[in-house]
Amino acid sequence: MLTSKATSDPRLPSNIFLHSNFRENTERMAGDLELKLLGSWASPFAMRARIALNLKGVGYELLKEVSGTKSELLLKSNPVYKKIPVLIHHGKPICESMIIVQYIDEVWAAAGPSILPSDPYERAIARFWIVYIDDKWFPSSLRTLRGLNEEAKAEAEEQLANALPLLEDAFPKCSKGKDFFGGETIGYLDIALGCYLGWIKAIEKMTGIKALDEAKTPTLVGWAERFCSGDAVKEVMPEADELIEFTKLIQAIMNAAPGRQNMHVSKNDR
Amino acid sequence: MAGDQELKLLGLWGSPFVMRARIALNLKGVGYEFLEEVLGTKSELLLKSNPVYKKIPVLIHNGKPICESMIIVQYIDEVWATAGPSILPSDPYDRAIARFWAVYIDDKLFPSLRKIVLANADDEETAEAADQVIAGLQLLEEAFEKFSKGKDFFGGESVGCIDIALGCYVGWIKAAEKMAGVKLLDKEKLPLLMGWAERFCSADAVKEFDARGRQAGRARQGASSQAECCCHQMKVFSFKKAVLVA
Repeated sequence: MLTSKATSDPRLPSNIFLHSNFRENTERMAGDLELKLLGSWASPFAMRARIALNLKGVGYELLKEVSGTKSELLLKSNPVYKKIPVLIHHGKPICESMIIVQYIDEVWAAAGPSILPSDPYERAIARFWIVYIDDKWFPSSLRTLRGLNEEAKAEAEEQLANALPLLEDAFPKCSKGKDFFGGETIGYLDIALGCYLGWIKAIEKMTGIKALDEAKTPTLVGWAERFCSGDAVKEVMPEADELIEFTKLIQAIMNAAPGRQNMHVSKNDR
Repeated sequence: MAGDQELKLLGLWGSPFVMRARIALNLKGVGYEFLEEVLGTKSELLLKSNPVYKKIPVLIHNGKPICESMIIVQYIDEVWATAGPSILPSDPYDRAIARFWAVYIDDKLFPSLRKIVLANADDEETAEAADQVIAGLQLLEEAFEKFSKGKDFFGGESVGCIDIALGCYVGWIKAAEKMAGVKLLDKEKLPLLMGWAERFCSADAVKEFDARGRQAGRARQGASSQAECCCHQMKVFSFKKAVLVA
């Protein structure tokens, strides 16, 4: 939790950087120096990689990027996009969150449950929904979060209202009566969609928009609860209140220094 | 190809995204029925098979639709894994890199190319888009050097994932050069890609696609180069506001 001391500190911009680690660090630090993940606690995309590593029970070193800056390692590992997450395995970088998740699933195929479905058609369907989710969700959530204007919020709300029933409809087909899109265990599509749940809750609190509505998308509401309680997810899912505080701090920085780029909230990756 | 009734591909001749699926099917030697959409309209089958995006290509295998070109390519590679060469590399790290560049190509290269080719931007925007294309191709020139390991294609000895992802745009790149009056694939700056592009366009799995297109007796018969066909297509697409899908 961010303390009032931090928010009232007159050196707000630099202090923010010091406090980017304010969230308690519960990620596994097995000291496996051969596997590093460049990420940040608030990034839904980094969360995807972390959930996948947790599902496979693989230890890794989390290297937290500081909001507003890009480490040398990040720039060297992802020169094309310069964005997190980046998984570095034996010194070799892998970029783009869902590509990282597939990589983890393939390399540690024998460890833990399969993340991708085994059937090629089901894999194609999961991949399709992930393209759709990243195409529709992130930009609209971001606009709502930034609260750019009422029109943007209305548009974002409409996009979510259109997207969610499709996913509600897809769930029984993918899950086949089980708990997750992936079946009995958290799978590829669960990870892709579930990573947004922290931000969705934050947005709901900030804007009063009900994104996940029990009345309209009951199946997804049930799924979301199960997903967030999953062992692999619990420790890496940020609390809505923490994200709201984080957003306010970022907005304060942006207001103080207009034009500052590279905040976490910019689109990270697919 | 024999027209396997269990496998249909909804598409449009000239669409780079449809071409990806067709090249993949050719590489695997798989027969299929090509159902050509009418430009400017969407068939009932398309609307039913891809209700979310309503776009081609759609592969329909035993009645089940698969959408999005690179998802279709991966599906083909997985289902017909034992037929023909592997499209995706076998090593997980190489696969991650191939997927990365495929995403990059569609994310960065396509929008800029589209801007130039559809000529709906002013001169300054077109010039900017051309710069972006050149910058992107420069990165791919470097990637080619690393991943081909001295062989003919990004995929090594045979056409692979990145070859398909990028190769389908070669016609558009040539068309864009004509329309923007700027050299995008410059032999001096991108010698490896130039060589690669020629080899790609002459590859069996790709050449056959072109030949079949001409055999179908469309209005483009007589067009002497793929670039000319593409220019024609782009103008028609632009006019009809048909969207060439990812």
